[in-house]
Amino acid sequence: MGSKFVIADPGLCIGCQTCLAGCLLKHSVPGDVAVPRLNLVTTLAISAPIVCHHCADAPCVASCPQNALYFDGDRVAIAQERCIGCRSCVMACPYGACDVVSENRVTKIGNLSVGDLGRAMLVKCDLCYDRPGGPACVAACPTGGLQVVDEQELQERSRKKRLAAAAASAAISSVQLNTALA
Amino acid sequence: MEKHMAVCPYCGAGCKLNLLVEDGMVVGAEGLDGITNEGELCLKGLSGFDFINDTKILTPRILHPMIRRTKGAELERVTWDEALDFTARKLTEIKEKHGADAIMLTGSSRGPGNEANFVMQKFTRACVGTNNIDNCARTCHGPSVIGLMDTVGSGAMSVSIPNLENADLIMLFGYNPSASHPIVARRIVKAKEKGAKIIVVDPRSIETARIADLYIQIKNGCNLAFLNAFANAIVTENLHDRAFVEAHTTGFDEWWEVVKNYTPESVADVCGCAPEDIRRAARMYATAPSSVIGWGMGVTQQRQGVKSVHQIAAIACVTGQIGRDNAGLAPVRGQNNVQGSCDMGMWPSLLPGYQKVSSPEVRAKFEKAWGLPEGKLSAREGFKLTDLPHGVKEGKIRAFYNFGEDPLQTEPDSADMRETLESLDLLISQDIFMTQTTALADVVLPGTSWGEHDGVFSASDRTFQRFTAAVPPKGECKHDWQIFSELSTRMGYPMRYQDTEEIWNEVRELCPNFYGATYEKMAGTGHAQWPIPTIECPGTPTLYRNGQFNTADKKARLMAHDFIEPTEMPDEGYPLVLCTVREVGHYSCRSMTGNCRALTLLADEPGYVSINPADAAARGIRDQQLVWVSSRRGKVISRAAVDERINEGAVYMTYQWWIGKCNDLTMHVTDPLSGTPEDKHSACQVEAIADQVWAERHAQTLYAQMKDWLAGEAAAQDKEPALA
Repeated sequence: MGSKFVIADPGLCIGCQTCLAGCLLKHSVPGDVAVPRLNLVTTLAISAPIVCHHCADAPCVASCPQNALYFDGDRVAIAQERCIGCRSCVMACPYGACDVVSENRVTKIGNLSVGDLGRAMLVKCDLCYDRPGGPACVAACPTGGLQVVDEQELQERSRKKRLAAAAASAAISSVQLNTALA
Repeated sequence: MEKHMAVCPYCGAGCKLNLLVEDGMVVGAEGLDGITNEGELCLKGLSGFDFINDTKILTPRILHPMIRRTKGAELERVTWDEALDFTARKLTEIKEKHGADAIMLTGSSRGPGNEANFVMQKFTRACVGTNNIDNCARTCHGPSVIGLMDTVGSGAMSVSIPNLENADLIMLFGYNPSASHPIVARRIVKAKEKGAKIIVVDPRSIETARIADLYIQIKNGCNLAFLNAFANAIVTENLHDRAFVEAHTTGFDEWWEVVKNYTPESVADVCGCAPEDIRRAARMYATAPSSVIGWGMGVTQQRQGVKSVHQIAAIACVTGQIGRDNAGLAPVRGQNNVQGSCDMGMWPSLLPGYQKVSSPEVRAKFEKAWGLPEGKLSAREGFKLTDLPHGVKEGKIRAFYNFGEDPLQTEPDSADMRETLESLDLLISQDIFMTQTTALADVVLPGTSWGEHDGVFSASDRTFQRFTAAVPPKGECKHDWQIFSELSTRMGYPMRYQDTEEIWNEVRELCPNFYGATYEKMAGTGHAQWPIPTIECPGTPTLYRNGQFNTADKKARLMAHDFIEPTEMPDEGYPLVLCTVREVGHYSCRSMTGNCRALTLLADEPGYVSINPADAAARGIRDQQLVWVSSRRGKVISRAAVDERINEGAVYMTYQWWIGKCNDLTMHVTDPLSGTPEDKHSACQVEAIADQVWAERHAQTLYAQMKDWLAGEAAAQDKEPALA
């Protein structure tokens, strides 16, 4: 089940696009598509790259009639060869994190170009599953504004919130608590 | 895979990195633990390396010398001997006929490094015999250099980049570090994380405004009115440091005579902000334990740039927010080695190490060191880079030696600049790429690229750092300092150096403030921050400690001036303010980053004109549509970025685009005190284009024509010269 994703801290984000460059460099290899998987969004109050959440119940996976999107352990993976470019995933994704681009491939006979074939390629974050050290964007961010959130991180965050809530509940105790233990 | 240590060739942050090399090609970059970047890089440092490999994405590298035998003839590849003989002969003829002051040169604040620039200015002064040498600081932080030398004595940051994160308050005034220097912006985020207060004063709601404790949106072109009122609020609220003023400054009474007239209420209309915001900012700034003011082109590329810098310096001095590690002045330099060009005396009034050409003692020292007869060095201040257009029109400048700059892209009013360059008797361009300027040159000299040579850069905070070659020179490219030396030797002043260290040691000997910066000290990720007068000195992160300023009497000179409005105000025909700014993923004239694959994929022609949603709606313009932008100087096609961060009544274009070229629109009007163009304020109009399909094709056509023209000019180098 998908449960690991990259998320940006909008306070630390300086909108510098270094995450996009890191992503692009990682994917600028033969057989891959040189398009950044993160989309930098800037509003008056917020700057943050928005990227696939690898949802546990991913609408993109559900929307794909060809099983081009599937669960691979803790991420939503792509089987590029099955993609028919129907863009159902683009419609379904609530994060706007899926994109279908056309990869131009020139067919040649000898030195003679005989045609330009636009082949549909599904583009979204693959968590740099094959990169030692994890996602390139996280490594590239100069302010430490990106992090990989996984099950453990989520549990840790929840644990801290529950602890804070428990401490605050002292205020509504119906009997006097031992203040020496507070 | 090989790794070679270097310093990033883009902004002035001075980030150390390794270039990764495979089979003679630079294939990657990784951050090193340098003093300013601590292992981090921005997108340009990370992915801006492949231009070295001659990708020909935008324009080809120049690999062989070329000349035009007669004005207007085709470029022709020649041998180095022929190119240098030709250049020496032409320059000598012009010197004999019109005098040495008819020859103008510009240094390169980019990849070549300090040693190449030092040798160029030595050639200019000792061989040609003129002080007509300048650098692109003229177009950017020139007013900071001049304004700070006038007031506090040194034209540089008084604080260090690392110490920014330890300030208690940072005020950014006309400075957008997230786009200009992401690795400096990182320090500001860290300061905020450590609890610093942030004030942003800018017409645009820039990135840092989002984490500011106080953001004041001002009108374009009101800087000096705002600063005067800020100073007024400090004194009227008794926030100034009387003891510091008394002990360490002069001119307070005269300063106050001007400042007293600028109450925050009196400038509210001009500045477009609430008087209480000015007072609040002044209180926050003056009362924080340690405050830093950072500024950029928003201050300097204005009609009153130098005068605004005078007031910024005065504000820091009257509040005593200067001369401590975390308190001071931060004019952060735009180009990787623009501090270095100034350090090396690429300035018409300064010899290396900020030693004045007007001083007989200084000239005598250099004459002795350079083996020149007494009185040989000119005492006359030379022309400024922005004197070029009228200097040529008036026949005073006949030859221009362009070193690694592209004035046709980066200077205002391109049509006028083109006419200027075409009117010269001789245009020499020494570069690594066939730029628009190089394409007009009579002599094209191929220097080695960053990544192909060694040297020292000066980061924005006066930090010297070494960089090394990663790959051998391509084609017949020669090191820049070798080209100058060989030319100088041909023109009767022999210069011979073995390597950059020999040159650097000469710099150290001649510049007392740089003496301790040895190559040894700067090995690896080492650095040396000037002033560093002795070998033992660890360097000086903070200037003016204990209120000891670098002026003759050690006191800061307070200076204030009346505000005047920008030269060209919006009117009916051109109702919008055009302000030129910087692209985060591209650099300078874009000849380097435009040849990097990743950076080009992230942003390409025709670039954007950023516009407020209301101004866009009033013109029927939607986000991402192509539009016309016009001014009294010209008309270009650009793409609209409808952006709520932009203030109404103003539009912003980044100066990196060759098709959507904002400098076709800007005007050649300069601050009289610095000669810096008023790039931040001219009048324009933006109009929708009904047929977007035509517009997209038109933009593509223009781009293809531009690339074809440059590739065509460069193609001359593929034809080997006939044997003599």
